[in-house]
Amino acid sequence: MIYIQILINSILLGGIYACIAVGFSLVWGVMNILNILHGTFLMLGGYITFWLFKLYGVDPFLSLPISAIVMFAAGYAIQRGLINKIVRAPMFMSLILTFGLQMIVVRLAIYFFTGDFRTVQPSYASFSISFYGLIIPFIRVAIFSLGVILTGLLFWFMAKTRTGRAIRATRMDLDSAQLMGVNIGNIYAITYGLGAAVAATAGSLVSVGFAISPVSDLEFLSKAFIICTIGGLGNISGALAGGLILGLVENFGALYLGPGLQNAVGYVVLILVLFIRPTGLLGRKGFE
Amino acid sequence: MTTAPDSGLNLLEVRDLKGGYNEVQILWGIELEVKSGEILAIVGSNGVGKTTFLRMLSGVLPCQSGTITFEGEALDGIGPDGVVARGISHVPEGRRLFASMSVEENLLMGAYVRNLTDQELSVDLDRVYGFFPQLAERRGQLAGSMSGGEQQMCAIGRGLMARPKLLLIDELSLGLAPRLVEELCGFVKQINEEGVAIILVEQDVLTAFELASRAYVFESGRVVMAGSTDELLENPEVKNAYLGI
Repeated sequence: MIYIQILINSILLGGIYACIAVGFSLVWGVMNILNILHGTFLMLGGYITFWLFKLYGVDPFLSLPISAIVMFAAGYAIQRGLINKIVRAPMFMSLILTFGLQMIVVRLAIYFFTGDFRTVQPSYASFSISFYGLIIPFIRVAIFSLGVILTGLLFWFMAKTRTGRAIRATRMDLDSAQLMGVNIGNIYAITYGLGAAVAATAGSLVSVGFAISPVSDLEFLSKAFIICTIGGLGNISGALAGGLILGLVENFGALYLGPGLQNAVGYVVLILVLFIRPTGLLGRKGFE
Repeated sequence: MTTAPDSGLNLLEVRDLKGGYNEVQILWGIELEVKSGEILAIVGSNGVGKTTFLRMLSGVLPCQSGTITFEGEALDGIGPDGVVARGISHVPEGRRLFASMSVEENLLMGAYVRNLTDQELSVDLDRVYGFFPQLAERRGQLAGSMSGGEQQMCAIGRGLMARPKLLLIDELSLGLAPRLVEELCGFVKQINEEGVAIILVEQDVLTAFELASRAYVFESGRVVMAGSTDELLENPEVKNAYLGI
């Protein structure tokens, strides 16, 4: 029975993991930049939900669109105003720039929000369904479902809309996309904004079930990094697969090796995947 | 060289165009005009600036000096998106399709700047499938998995989706079997008969002269000869240097 319970927990966790990683994968895949700010967007999304709940009593699930819109705008502005200036430089530059911004934002967050761990506790936080001795917490199911829906929405956007098509075209052949009249600076900013919006929404979801603090961002970032590398960069199904695998590996790792080594198991799998299939499980060489 | 008395206004006029990549100047004062509805060929050997010239027309490469006028208005500083929107589309050398998109998605990318409704798009898609029935059969196939000839059709079709008044085709025949080149030439004529002016950049001078009514010969970034293709075919220098006769 415990195995089934852990399996359920793993899948529920994997859904949110996928959602944490998918924006990171998008930004890396399209622009080839390592976005250290990714975890920061998650953290900020979490705080948007937390403060709206704490100060105005807004239901955490209602604040998801607010997180998304606010962080889309922030992401768009950061890419347009800063990252676009160095996007043609070696990847290392983007790492330094976003790392610098990450430090500024996190220090500001510590100053304004304090370093305390926070979690959103709506009245229905402890509801759960139980049958045959299995416990399925309502909140986790809600987070999982919304995480999967969000990932699906992004997938739909990329596959079916004019802008999504332009983003894919830009990734495949920048020069050719430009000849089609795609404004590359604008498409990059939209891509980055989307990555930030999805990250912030994931952060909002995370803040309901888990505790967050201003320095949670690095934990989110490292999860996103592991998931993308395991699943394969640049495609959304890779993020889903990576997320589920990490969820399984961490939960079963905790069962067999104890919770202390739970996170270490993720890195072991990462290294194994890099040995066996460096492009990630669902990744293709050059990711297109 | 004869001037056409009936058209007072050229579709495209290029005056004293200079430019290149960073420190390297490639074009040294190009003078060129395109009349409405004509097929114009630009020929010359490798590295004389033909592709550079097209890239400056489409706005992906900035000009150092000189002017480009399209339908009487300057094309300065409007960017590649502006150029496409004004009615010039570019079929790049080597086709440069979006390899892991379907044929239809590639065509849709061609209409990107026009921001059409699905219904308007399907009208334009049907028009392109009318020109190239082979593409209609392969509309769901990944563009990168097609043969070179089909890819070239897809690239031209993608260019047509912008509803251009002027179509720039860079190396129509490159890497294709003669039978395919002939077929493609037929398509180019058909497209031209619908009123689309075409600049054809070619290394294969005979193919280019068969299609075009006028031609410019480029040499080290300058126009060294220009005129009707019939006249140029008789020119001993052209015969010697480009036709090997």
